[in-house]
Parts: sequence; structure tokens; C-alpha cells
Amino acid sequence: MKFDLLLPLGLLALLTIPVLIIIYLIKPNYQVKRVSSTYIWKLSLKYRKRRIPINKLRNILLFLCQLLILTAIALVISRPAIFYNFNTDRSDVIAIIDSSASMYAGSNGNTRFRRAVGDVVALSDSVMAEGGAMSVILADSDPEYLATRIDIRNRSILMDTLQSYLDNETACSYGTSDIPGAIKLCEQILSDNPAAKIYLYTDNTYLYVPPTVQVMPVAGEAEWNAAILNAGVALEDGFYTITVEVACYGQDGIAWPLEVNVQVEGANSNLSTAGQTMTVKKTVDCTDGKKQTIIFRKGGGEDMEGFVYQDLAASDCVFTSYQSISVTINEQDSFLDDNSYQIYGGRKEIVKVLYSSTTPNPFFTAALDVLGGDFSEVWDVRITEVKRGGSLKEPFEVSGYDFYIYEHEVPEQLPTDGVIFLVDPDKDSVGAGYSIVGRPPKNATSLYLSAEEEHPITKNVNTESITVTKFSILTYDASYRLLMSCDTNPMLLVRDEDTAKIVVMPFSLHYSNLGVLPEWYLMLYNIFNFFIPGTVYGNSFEVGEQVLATPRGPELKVFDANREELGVYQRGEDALSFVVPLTFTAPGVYTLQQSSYFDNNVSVTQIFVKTPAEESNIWRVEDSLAEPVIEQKPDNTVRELLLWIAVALVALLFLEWLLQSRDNK
Amino acid sequence: MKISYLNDAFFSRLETLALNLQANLAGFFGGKHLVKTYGQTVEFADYREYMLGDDIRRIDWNLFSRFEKYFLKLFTDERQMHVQIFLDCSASMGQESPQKAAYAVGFAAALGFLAVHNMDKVSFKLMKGNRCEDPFGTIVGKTTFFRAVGQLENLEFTDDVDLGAAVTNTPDTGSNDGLSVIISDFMTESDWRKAVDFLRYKKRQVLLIQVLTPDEVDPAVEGRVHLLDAESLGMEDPRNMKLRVTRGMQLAYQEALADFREGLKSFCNSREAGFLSVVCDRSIERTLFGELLKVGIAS
Repeated sequence: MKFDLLLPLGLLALLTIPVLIIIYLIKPNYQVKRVSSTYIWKLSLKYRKRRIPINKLRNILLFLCQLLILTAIALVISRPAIFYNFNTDRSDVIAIIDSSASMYAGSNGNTRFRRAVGDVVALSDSVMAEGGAMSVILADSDPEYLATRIDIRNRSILMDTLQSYLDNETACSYGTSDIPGAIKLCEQILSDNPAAKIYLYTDNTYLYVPPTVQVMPVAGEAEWNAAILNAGVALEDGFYTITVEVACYGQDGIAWPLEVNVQVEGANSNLSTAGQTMTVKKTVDCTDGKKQTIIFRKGGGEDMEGFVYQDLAASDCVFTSYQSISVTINEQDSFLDDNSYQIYGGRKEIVKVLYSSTTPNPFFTAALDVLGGDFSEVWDVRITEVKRGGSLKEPFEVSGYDFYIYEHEVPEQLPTDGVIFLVDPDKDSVGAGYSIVGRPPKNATSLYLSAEEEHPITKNVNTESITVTKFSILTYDASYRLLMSCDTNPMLLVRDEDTAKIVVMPFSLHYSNLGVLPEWYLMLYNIFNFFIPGTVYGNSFEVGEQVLATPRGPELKVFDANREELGVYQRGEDALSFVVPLTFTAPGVYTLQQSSYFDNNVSVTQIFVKTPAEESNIWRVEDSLAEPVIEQKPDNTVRELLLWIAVALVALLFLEWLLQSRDNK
Repeated sequence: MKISYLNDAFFSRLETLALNLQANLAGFFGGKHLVKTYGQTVEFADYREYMLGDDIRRIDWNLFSRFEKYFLKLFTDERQMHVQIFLDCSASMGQESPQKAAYAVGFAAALGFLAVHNMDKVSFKLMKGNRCEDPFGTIVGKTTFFRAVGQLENLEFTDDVDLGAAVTNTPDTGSNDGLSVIISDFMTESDWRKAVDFLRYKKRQVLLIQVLTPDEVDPAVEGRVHLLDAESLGMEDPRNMKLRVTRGMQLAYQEALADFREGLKSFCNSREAGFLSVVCDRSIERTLFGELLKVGIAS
């Protein structure tokens, strides 16, 4: 789209503007008139004074209006127009380079991505030599232009970028590519030049390709790939079963014997032994493009179509615990990044929970049992129940636990190495920050609680459904946040400081309906999850997938497989919760390192990031390629703006007349 | 073309009018104006008891026969007044508008004629600069009056006039003896109020006549104009002014003029002086017979 004039000589009419200015300069400003006396005229100035600034503005407007009228007349004479498709005389070529992980596949040390870039260099040279313009889009998960409409004059801008890609392949992503998004980007250039040619350099095959796009395959004929698509473990009858999904692509229908090796580290470890290293292997025949699932289990199983069993007992590889499992295939195929797989999460960190009560109640024990089950994926929750009371009172347990629950009777000195949940405390503890100021007798009727500050601990908890009949009246310091109240009395308080994480509930479950409500478990779950969150849920992620990490401590460090620090994340001072969104751009093993608030123990979590399974199929066939939408232009590619300017001219003339007429009032 | 209102027909129409002056003036003996003092006319005024020293010829014997007391019969007195006509001879009165000058002269002559016609004395005070010229002296009788009027027609209107100074500098304004008329457009920076106050201090009946041209009442001026004051001494005179006359400006002018006239009128009311504003496109007879009767000067 280009703006131009059909009759540029019409701009000569702009010469009238200096004439207008000269007229303004030389026109007799004042007409001499003799009057008997100017006395009344001078008096009248006082009556007229207020309107003078408006008059000045009006004069300027009038002049501007006349100026614009002359300009508009000049434009009308010169016939301005918008020229569409102005570039049709010039060759416009757009090259899209597929930057998905499968483009790392290659042969003879030459990857598909490098091939694609080399082809684009050659194409660019050819297009520019013919006077055309070259645009290049790098199509990863978020496509963008590398260069737009580069011609021979600024060739080096594009060539330097492409050369850097040839020298270093890291520009190619390990994730997926958004080819439809890249095609959509082309529409910007196509709207100006519908004749622009689009070349897509990809390893995918499309059954339907729109006529406006030309697919340039960059896959080598001999390239093939054996891949571990997925792997996982499951506990069956106390023993672990390993499931591995593998496939081969590019073998032209020939069954390829694929050997899958599994190595278990730290198997069957306990408190006294570090665990063993066990290995097991299985060879399966993979035909082109068909997924095979290998199940390593104790006792094996009967093979079926697509499913192959391997008895772990036969390989002396039965294990009930593990530290990590490594799955590999030793094939020199064209794409190596999917030839290994790591499974972590076998050894869970122990979280010790103490439930101390003078009268332990089943609401607590049942809820804690369920809690342990719910967090079993990330924690090994071990619950210790202590019943206090009677004549022989045991000393309080005030250390060695991660989560302390004191019901009814609380220690004089609270623990300092874990999260504390005080339920119906009987007295004030030293440094606890609250003080019991009254214990009213049991109320005849139930009192409903009301929600106060929003907090993750009360997330999804319907506070208004909870009632109490008896409670302690507390005062508390500013370190606490009030989450629930009854009238003006606090019913749930939380303190979230670096070294003191305390929740206070000044009523007993015996005098409340909370125990029989779902809110009770929700609240306990929220307390646990808020203070002792699992760092990550899952241990295997794909490149480009967002991983939400919830550290327990004030800081999280992320390292790659080479122990190079990728990032350090710290909790904000006033942040209610600490969630770190992580996105990994390359496959491999990553380590998340954090320290607890209560001690200096460093906790390490390892996760495995793999290339998307679909990228392992290096001979992928897609149904159709997205078609760019080309804006339909009128047949006449020149749109005159005469009408619009004429309308503007009429409006200006009307405005000028209006100003003139008001001027004479 | 010279404009003149003064001819026989004009004066003959005025013979039906008479000046109606205040009765508390003293005046001179021998006129025709009835005054509050008792005199020797035949018009009965009142009775009073005889006092020692009174002329016994004036005793009303009819009353004596009825009441057996001596009463004197009193008669009203008739006096001759002195009408002074102060005529503004500044350039603003005639240089740019001969009609305005002729109208002012005609009005002065008409008032003079009414005076001499009623056996009063009249004198024309021609205000020039800060003084008054009295070229004809005190005029009594029509012969002298017409001779003076003949010269009035050749009067020149030049320069500017300080009305206050001109009137107060007049040596023989008299006291409590008649009517003083100031004919001017009053469009002056000078303090004309001082003249009124001075004449009122001299216990004279005062009448202010403002003469305006139609162009001054509704100026036909538009656009950017450089207004030259008739009394200005050159182009750079501060009385000249440049302005852009719009419709709004014209409205402001009308508003200013109306306020100016209202100011004159209210001041005259406060000083018990008469005020008349006339536009010279109206026939002078209609003004005389209409406006003068309205303000009560003529009857």
C-alpha cells in the first residue's frame, strides 16, 4: 500500500499559500474613519474586553482554516490516491525456517536446520540478485521475523544472521514449531504484495499444501530415529514396574531390533545401605512409526500387539525403592536427544508430623492419614501421635519434626524447627505472639465464623459454614494475620515469618462442627501445602512446558546438567506465597536447589526435561498446511482519495464561513 | 452644503411656545414670568393682615366691612429672567457633521427666541477652549436677537473645549436669575459635572441638551478601522484609536452609549437639572414641541 499523487503538478496550487500570507501582510489592516469623538468607543472597550482572547483564537483559526482550504484545494487538483499492490513489480519472497526439535536430526554431521538455513542463504542470494526482497521467519513455538524485505542494498543484515545460525545451531529450538503462526505472520507482507512467494523449509510432509506456499523438504533420505517416547514407574504389589514407550521412524517398514537398557540407581536402599545398581534390558522389533510399550515388571506378562513384557525377577532386578532410573537406547540414529530418559522421584523426602493431644480425636488422625496419602507423590509423611495426660506427664516433644500439632495442651517453649499448629491452646507459650485473655463458658447456641483476610490457608474453605460454641479469647501481635473470626474474636490466626510459622485455632473440634465438615480437611491440607509445599509435582516435563515450582525456603536455585546456575529466585518480602514459573528450552536433567527456613539443610530436587514426543517422529506427515489469508483488494488497485478530500474541503469551507459570520457578530 | 434651520417660518412656529421657568427664581423687574414673591401685578395671590407701615391704599375695605379688621390684598409678581445659552463650539460638535452644528445652533437660537419672545434677556456663551466668548452681550428684544442669530450661523467649531472650566470661568453668570442651558455632545474627558455644580451653586435653573448625530447613535462602522477623533491634533493623538469593529463591538458601543446617557441623566436628576438628549435626524420643531414640553422647560 502506498500513498501517491496522480497529478503531482497540482501541488503547484500550494503556491497560493504564500500569496495568502502576503495578502494577510499587505492588506490594509485599518480603514481610516474620522468621527466626531472616539469617547464612546473608548468606553465601549470596557464592555468588550472579556471577548478579546476568543477573538484572537478565532483569528488564528480563521487563518488556519484558510490555509487548510488552500492545501485541500491543492490536494484535490493533484489527485491523491492509495496504490495497492505497489510491489507487484518487485519479487517478494518469504522463507519460513521450521525450528522445531526434529530439525536437529541430521546425517553426516549436517542437521536439517543447517540445511534449511543454507538453502535460505542460497535463495536469498538468488532473489536479491534479481532485485527482489527477502523476508525470513524463524518458526519455533513463537514465530518471528528474522528480517523483513531485505534487498541487495542491506543484504549483510540478513546474511550475518543466517551465517551465525550456520555457525551455531542453538537458534533451533528443542520444542515444537508453530507453522500456522508463521504462515499468519506472512499475511503482513501478503497484504501489501499478494504475489509474494512463501517457501517453507521443514522436515514435515503435508498432504495438502496451499498454492501460495511451497514446501521445501530438508530431511535427508537416510535419516531415521529410534526414540524413547515416554517412561514411568508404578508401584505394584510393593514392587516397582517400569513402563517404557519406544518407536522407530524412517526405516521404510523394516522391523528394527531396538535394545532398551534400564539402569536403576539406589535400588532397595534403606537406612543402613545406600542401595544397589540394577540393570535390565529388552530388545523389541520396531516397525516404522509404530509405538512399542515395554513393561518391566516382576513376573512379566503376556505380550500383546504393541506391548512387550520383561520379567524383572528373571534379570534379578526386583526393587521396592530407587533413587533414579535411566532408560537408554544405544542406536546411532539421526536424532540423539530422545535416546535417553531419566526417571526421578523414587526417593521422597521424609516429612515428620507430630500430633500431640491430651485427648487425641479421630478427626485429626483420619485427616492426617489422608494428608499423607495425598502428598505421597512428593513427601514421605510420617505421623507420630503423642497422647498426653494422666498423672505421668511426658515431656513435650519440641524438636525433630517438620510439622507440630499441639491440641489443648501446648508447651511453654514452642519448637523452632518446624511449622506449628496450635489447636485450642490452654496457655500462652513464650514468644508465641498471642495471649489468652478469657475463656467464656460454653455458648448455648452455635456461633458462625466469618472470613477475614484472603489467604492460601483458607482457599476453598467456606468459613461461614463453620460454627463454634466455646472458644478462648485471644489477643495477638502484629506478626499474625487474622483469617477467621467470630464477632470480634480471632478464630484462626497465622504467622508466616522466616523462623516462626504458626497457626493458632483457639477452639476445640469438640465444640465446633468443623470436624465433620469438608472444610476441616481442606484447611489442614492448605496449612500443610502452604508451609510444606512439594517443590514440583511430577519429574518429567517437556521443553517449553511451564513448570510451577513452589519452594519451601526463601530461595530457589536452578542448575542444568552441567551444574551451571540458570537462575536464582527469591521470595518477595510481602508475597503471600512463593511460586516460581520455570520454562526450560533444552532437554536434560535439571536440579532445583532450596534451603529450608528452619535449618541450613539444602534440599535438591531433580527433574528431567525431554523433547516433545511428537518431535521424535522425524518423518511426520501432517494433513494440511495452513493457508495464508490474503486480503481481497478491489480490481482497481488505485483508490483515489478525491472524495474524502472534497468532503474535508466542504467541511473546511463551512467552518471558514462559520468563523467569518461569527466574526462579524 | 451649509445647513440652517433658522428662517422666518421656524421662528414663527416658536411663537406659540413659552419658557416655563421655576417660580423660585428672583429675576429682574419687568418680565413676564410669575414668581413666588408678591408684587404689583393685577393677579391676586393672597391676603394678610395690615401691619404698621403698609400702604393703606392696598387695604381691602370689603373685608373690613365684614370683619372690622384690616386686610391687605396681595398680588403675584412677574419678573424678567436671564437665559444663558452655553454652546459647545468644539470640533466634535461640527467639524465632521455640519448637521450636528446646525442643529445645536438651531436649538440655541430657538431657546433664545423663546426667551426674548417672553421679554426675557438672553445671552449666548460660546465655549471655546477653557473660556466662554459672549460676542453679542445680553440680548433684549427681537431686533437685537435676530442680528445676533445671523452671526451665529457663521460660527466655527474647532479645537476642544473644557466644559467645566469654560462655565466656571464665565464672569457674569448671575445668581438666581434664570435658566442656563448647556448644549453639547458631552463627549469629552473634561469634567462637565463641574459646570453643572457651578451653575446650581449660582442657583440657576440648569438644562443640559446633548446633541448627537445618527452616526453617533448607531455607528455605521465595520471591520478594522482607525478612528480619528475630530478634536485630535494628529494621527498619533491618543484620542485616535484602532479597533476591529465587529457586531459584538457595535453592541458594546450601544451599551456604552446608553450607559453614558443614563449617567448624564441620573447626574442631572441628582442636581435637579434638566437633561435632554436629542438626535439631529429628528426635526428640530418636533424636538422643541415634544421633548421641551416633556421636561417641562416649555409650555
